[in-house]
Amino acid sequence: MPRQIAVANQKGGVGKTTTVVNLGVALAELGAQVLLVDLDPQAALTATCNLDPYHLSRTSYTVLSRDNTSLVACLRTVWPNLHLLPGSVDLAAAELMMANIPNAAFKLREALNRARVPVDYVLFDTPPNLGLLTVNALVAAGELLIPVQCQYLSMRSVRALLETVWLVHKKMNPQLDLLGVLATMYREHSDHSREVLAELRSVFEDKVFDFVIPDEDAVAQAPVAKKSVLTYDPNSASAKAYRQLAEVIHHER
Amino acid sequence: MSDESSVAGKGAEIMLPPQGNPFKKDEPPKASKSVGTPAEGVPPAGLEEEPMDLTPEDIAARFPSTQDERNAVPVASGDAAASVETATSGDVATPGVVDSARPPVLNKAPRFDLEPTPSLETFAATPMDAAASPPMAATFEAPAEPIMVTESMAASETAATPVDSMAAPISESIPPIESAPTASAPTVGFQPYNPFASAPDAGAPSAPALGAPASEPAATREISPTVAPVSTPPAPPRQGSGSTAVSVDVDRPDEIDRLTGRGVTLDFVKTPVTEDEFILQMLITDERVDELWDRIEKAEKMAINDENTSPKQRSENLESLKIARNLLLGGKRNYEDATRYVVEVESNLIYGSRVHRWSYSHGILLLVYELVWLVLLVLGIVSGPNFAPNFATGGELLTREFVLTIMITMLSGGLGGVMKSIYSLTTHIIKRDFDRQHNLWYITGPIVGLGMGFFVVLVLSIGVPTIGGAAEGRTVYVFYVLAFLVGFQQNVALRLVERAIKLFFSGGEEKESEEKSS
Repeated sequence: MPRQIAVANQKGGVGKTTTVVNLGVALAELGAQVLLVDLDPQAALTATCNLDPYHLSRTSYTVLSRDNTSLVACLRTVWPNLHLLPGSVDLAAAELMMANIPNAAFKLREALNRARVPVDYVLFDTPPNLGLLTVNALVAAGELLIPVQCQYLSMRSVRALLETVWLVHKKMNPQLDLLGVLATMYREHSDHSREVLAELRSVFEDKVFDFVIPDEDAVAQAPVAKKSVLTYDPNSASAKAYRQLAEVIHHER
Repeated sequence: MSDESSVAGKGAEIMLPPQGNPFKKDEPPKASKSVGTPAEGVPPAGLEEEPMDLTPEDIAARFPSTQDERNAVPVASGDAAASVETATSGDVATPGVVDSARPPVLNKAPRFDLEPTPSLETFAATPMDAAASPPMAATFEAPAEPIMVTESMAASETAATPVDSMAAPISESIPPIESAPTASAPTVGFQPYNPFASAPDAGAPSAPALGAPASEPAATREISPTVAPVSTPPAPPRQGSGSTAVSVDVDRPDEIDRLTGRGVTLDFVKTPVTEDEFILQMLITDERVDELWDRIEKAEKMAINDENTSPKQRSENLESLKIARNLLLGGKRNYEDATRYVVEVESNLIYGSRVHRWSYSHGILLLVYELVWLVLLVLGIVSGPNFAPNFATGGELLTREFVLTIMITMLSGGLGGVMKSIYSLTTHIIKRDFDRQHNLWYITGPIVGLGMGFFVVLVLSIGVPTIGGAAEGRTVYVFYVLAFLVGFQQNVALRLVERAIKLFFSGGEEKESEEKSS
């Protein structure tokens, strides 16, 4: 049974997609088979993996919207050991469409259970909202990774996410556990960043990872080159931090 | 960094929902200081110290009667400050918590933080009044050092470097907050700062010129050292102060001297953006959400097992319940919409059980009633020739044949009405969807049919002058058939009559209204 990790935060631009890509690549480097699932209508994860989200015929939208679609048939191998269920801009309409589908929140979980993809990790990249797509990821996942940008507004969005987790716990997926809180875009010389990190640790205690993802250019430049930070700038602090994150997660098994 | 813009000690308030951390369910939920739903039995923040009964002085202070009073800026006199010190000593130890969303307690002077902002260490070490301090502050500890993997570390470390070797005490890397600049707020007075002005004021920050190179030294772009975060929390906003509040730096005598205008600073107020959320949390409690969820599940079971509704209706009910569930998953803001869907389904189910019952009670009784009418009408048609002479006058108009034609035509109309009623009743009883509100329609169906039959006779008498002769030939059967059809389709016939009446008596008006509607 693969470890299924949802990377979610209601706020956009906190590093969800970046975390999914780089954590996936880092886990793949460790020899694990990893499946990335792009549920974001912006399909940034798909674009980072050098696929055109506007011209894909089989995507996560296909899986969610059609009952008999084989998930395996939609997968693309984008890196050794790294597979992608690409996203699509059509996902923007998926929430409306899914509102009338029976058991809409369980679609992704059912598809994954049916497919039984032989991977070690499944990482879900969620849209920056708490709609049905995010709920699908939270229902399908066993663990939740919350990237929090070291800013006040990003902290605020955690509250809404946790409210949704309460509901998901109560009604749909009581097994959902918190893998950890990852502080992203940390600015070393910023008092505010330090304060936010301290508050994260005071609230989530040992669930906050010891390392942080620094705010550096390599993270922003890597998607332009259609690469992960680990391949774009292997010696950058971000690449090292993501490798550490992968090691921590991998050795928890 | 000013206390106002600091998030220190507010982590739980900002990040945790009223229910608490979902991943630590055994812990009691942490009370929210000023945002969200207060813990059960605890009034919202600040209300516990709000006097319930205002004295006339309080009211006068809250609603100034003169323009000067309204414009006056609260002054922190020495006595007032001292009284604040004694009255709210606990509050002084809670930096960063500025409850500016509501007016201050009126029998206290405005609060001014006259002490320097404590550092993290002193903050943690200072014994605080548990009742007055925020929940997280009581257990605050210096956080562990964030491991920043710098370039220098990258050069020295190897791939096998353990994580622990990079850890260091936080006190070495995080400068205490007290070292932050505590300069007073920019003194801009009431002169608006124009960022596009070519010749900036001396006190205003100089904006970089358009097209300036990105590599311009940072020092040239830095704003004046006097423009620094405010060291004291702003005074709470007064009633009707709009979107700005006035704060006073009591360390600057010149500023106090110029309280009437030039020395004050304009700060952003903590706008009540959480008010809607607060109301939402107050009105749509978790218990209500749970209750609605349970109602959805209950209704779903009822809808699945309901034998009274048709498959199509059942499918629609299940669809509505799924939409309601998805709406509820979308958040508390969708509570009303979700409720509407659930109520619709519940009313459908209740209505289904009612019409099921009525189909076998009212429906069967009415069917018997219609059958009785059927028998009577058939008997009337069969025995009509025997009764017709009794009503004939022997004159030219009411001859025996004409009376017989009228009788049979009326009975044919009644027969049509009965047939229609029996057909409709049977259909509804089979479908088990008979609604008793149509009882009267079924009861009057045969009678209206009789009347419509008579109407047919009259209309055809106008169109056929030789009615007496018509009764002699086969044309009379046209009367009967027409009467039967009119009785059967009473609604259509009545509508035609209605239109004919309108056409004759108010034709112009109808045409006009039709044109308008088209």
